[in-house]
Amino acid sequence: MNGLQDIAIVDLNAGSVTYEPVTRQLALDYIGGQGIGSYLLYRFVKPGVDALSPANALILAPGSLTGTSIPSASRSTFMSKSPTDGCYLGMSNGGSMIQLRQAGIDLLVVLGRAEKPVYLEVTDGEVRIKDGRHLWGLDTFETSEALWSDLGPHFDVAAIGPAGENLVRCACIIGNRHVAWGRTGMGAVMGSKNLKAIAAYGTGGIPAAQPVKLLGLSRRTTRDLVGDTKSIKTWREGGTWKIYWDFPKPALNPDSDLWVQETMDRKIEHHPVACPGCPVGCKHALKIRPGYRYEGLELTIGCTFSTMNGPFGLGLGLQNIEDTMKCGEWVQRLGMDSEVTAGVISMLIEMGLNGVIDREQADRLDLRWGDHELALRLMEKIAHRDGVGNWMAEGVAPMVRSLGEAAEPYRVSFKGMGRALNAHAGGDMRLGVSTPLFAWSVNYRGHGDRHRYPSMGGRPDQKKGNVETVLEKAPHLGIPIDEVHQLGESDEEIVPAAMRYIQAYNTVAYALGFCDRAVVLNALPIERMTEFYNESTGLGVTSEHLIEAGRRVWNLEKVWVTMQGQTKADDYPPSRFFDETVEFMRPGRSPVEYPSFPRETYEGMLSRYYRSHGWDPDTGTPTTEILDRLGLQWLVDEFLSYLDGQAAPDAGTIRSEPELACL
Amino acid sequence: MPVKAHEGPKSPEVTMGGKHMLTISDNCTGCQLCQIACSWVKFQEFNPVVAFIDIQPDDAQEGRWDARFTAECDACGYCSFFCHYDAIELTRLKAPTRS
Repeated sequence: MNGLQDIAIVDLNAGSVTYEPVTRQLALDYIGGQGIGSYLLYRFVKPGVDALSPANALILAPGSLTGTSIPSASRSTFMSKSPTDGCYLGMSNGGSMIQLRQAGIDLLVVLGRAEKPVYLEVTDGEVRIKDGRHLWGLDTFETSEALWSDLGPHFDVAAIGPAGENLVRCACIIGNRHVAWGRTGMGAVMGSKNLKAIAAYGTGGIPAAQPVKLLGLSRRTTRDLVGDTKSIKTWREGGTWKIYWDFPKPALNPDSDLWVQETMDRKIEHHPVACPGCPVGCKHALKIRPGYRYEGLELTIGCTFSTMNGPFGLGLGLQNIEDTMKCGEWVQRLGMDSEVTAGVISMLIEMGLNGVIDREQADRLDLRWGDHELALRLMEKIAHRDGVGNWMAEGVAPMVRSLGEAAEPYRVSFKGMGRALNAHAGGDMRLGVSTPLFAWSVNYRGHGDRHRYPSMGGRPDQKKGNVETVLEKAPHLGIPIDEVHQLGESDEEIVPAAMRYIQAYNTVAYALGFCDRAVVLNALPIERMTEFYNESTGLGVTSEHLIEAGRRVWNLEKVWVTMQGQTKADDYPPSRFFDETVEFMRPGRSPVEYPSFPRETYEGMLSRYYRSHGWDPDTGTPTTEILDRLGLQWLVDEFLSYLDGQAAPDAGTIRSEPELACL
Repeated sequence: MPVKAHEGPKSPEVTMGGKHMLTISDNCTGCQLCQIACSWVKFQEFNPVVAFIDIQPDDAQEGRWDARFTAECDACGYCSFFCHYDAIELTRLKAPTRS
C-alpha cells in the first residue's frame, strides 16, 4: 500500500462528482500536491479564461506527505487562475486540510458554477454537494461555526466571507477559523462558483509504503528540528511577532507598541498553537488582557506578522497592538488577504495625502496614517463593494489605470498584488540584492513567502556572504558541486543564477506539503525529503529525480502563465524602487537612507535568471529545447501555436488529458 | 485542528505496566503528533481518529486544548516520545524494594 489516493473532480454545472486515481506515473512526473495541481491546472484551465467565470477551476492540493507523522508536512495549496489583474497563477499556501487526505482524497478539483450557494462535504472517499444557502452572508468565523454545529466539530473547514461572495479580488479562504489561503484572490474564485465552504473529515487514515521507517525518520528529523533550541524558543514564544526584530523597517511609526515585545506581552496573552504534526508551534492564540481597548478579544492566528503586525501595524502606522489585532480579526472575518487589503488602503491614504485623489473620491473620509478605525471602515467598504470600496475591491492595477500616470508613483505591487509600502522591506532590493527579495519579482504569483528559502545575497541583516552561503547550501538544495562555481561571484551574478535551484528545491518542498519556515527547511536537505517521499509512496526515486520533477513543474507553470498572458513586463518590481531613495530604521537607531536600485542592474539580473533556466534571455520564454529536456514535449505544439498568435482553444471546453512526461 | 471525540470514559492520567502518564493540557498546542504516533503503534496507520489519546478544543478558551487518554490506553508511552511541547509527562514507577 502506498500513499497515493484519489483526485475528486466536482462539476458544479452538472452537480456531479467523478474520481480518478493519482497514478504512479503522475506522482513520478509531478511529485504530488501542488506539483500535480499545476498539471491539473494546465489540463482544466485554458488560455484566456476569465478567472471569475465557470470555465476556471479551483484546485485544493494538500502536500503529498500532509497528514503523516512527518514533522511540519502539514500544508496545502489552493490553485486557480487568479482574478487579480496582473497576476495569473493563483496559488496560495496555507494552513492545513489534512482531513481531506484522511478522507482518501489527495486533490480536489472544482469546475463550473452552482446555481445556488453550496458547500462541499467530504467524508471517507465521497464528496457531496450540499445546499449552502443558509451560510451565504455569514463571515468566515460564523460559517465555520455553523458547519461545526451542523456536521460536528471534527471537520476541517475552509470558508469564504462576504468579500469572496462579492468577488472582491483580494478575497481569501480561511481555514478552521484561523489559517488563511491569503494572496491571489482564491476566495473570489470560490465565490464565483457559488461555493461557500469545503468541509472534510475522514476516518480512513493515510497509508504509507514503509510506515516503520517513516516513523523512525520522522523522529530523527523532529529531533534535528527541535535541536535548534534558540529558533524553536523564539518561534514558540513570539511566533512571527519576533521575526522582524533585527530587520530594517521604514520609519513610519517608530514609537509603536510593535517594536517592544514587553509592551505586547503586557497587553496580550498568547499561547502557541501548532499545525498538525508540527513540532515548531509558531501560530498563536491571542487574547487582549483586561484594561485595554477590545479587552477579551480572542484570535487564533497562523502568521501574526503577515496578518496584523506587518500590513496593519507597520504598514498603516498604527500605534497600539490591540488596534492592530482588531484589524487582523476583522480582515479574517471578512475573508480578505491582509497584505493586499492593507496595500490598497495604504495606497489610498498616500494618494489622498499627496492630492492625487480628492476628498469626494475617498467618500469624504479623513485619510491619514495611524487611524485603525479608518482601516476598519475601509475594510468593510471593500468587502461589501460600497462606494470607494468598490473601486478598491478591483485591486491596485485597475486603481492606477483609472487615475493615469499620476498614480503610478504610489503603486506598490508585485504581479498586480498590492502591499503596504511600509509593511516591511520584502521585495525591496534597495536594501541589497538577495534571493528572497529577487524571488518576489520573478515568481509567478507575486509577493509572499513562496521560494524564499534559503536567503542568499547581501541583505544588510545577513551575516554571511553569498559565496559562503551558496557553498554551504549547495548539497542541501541539490546543486551539483561543479555547478556551484559557475554561479558567479557578485550578488548580482549569484542571486539570479541560484534562483533556478532554489525554485526547484522549494517546488519539491511545497509539493510534499512542507512548511517554508527556515527553521523547518534547515532540517530538510533534499536527500531527506527524498527518503520521506520514498517511504511514503514506495516509488524509490533519487533526489536528482525529485529536483528534476521540481524543475519540470516550474517550467510547466511558466508555460501556463505565459499562455494566460504573463510577460516579461510582469517580472519587474514597482517602478518606485528604481526611482526613489528609501529610509529604513531599526528601533533605537538612526534611520539609514538607501539609494534607488539601478534599472540596468536589474535588467542584467533578469537576463541572467532567464538564461540560467534555459529560457530566451530577452523575453523569458521557455525554449522548446528545455521543454523537451524536461519531458514536457507534449505541450510544445500547443505552446508554439499560442506564441504564433494562433487562436487559443475554445475557453469553454475542457482540454483533453495531456501526456505524462515519463511515458 | 479538532478530531471527533472518542466515545467512552477518558482520563488525564493512566497508570499501567510500571508507568504513569499524565497530560498537561496547558502545554498542548493541538499538533496531534501524539495521536499520529499512537495510531501507528496500535493500528499501523496514520489516523488520529483511532488513537488512544483524545485531543479536543477547550470550549472555555480559544486556542487551548484538552488532552485525555481513552480507556484503551496501556501507557506504552509512545505518544510522550512524540510530544515536543511537554504536554504528556511519563514517569517510570520504581518497583518496591525490600528494606
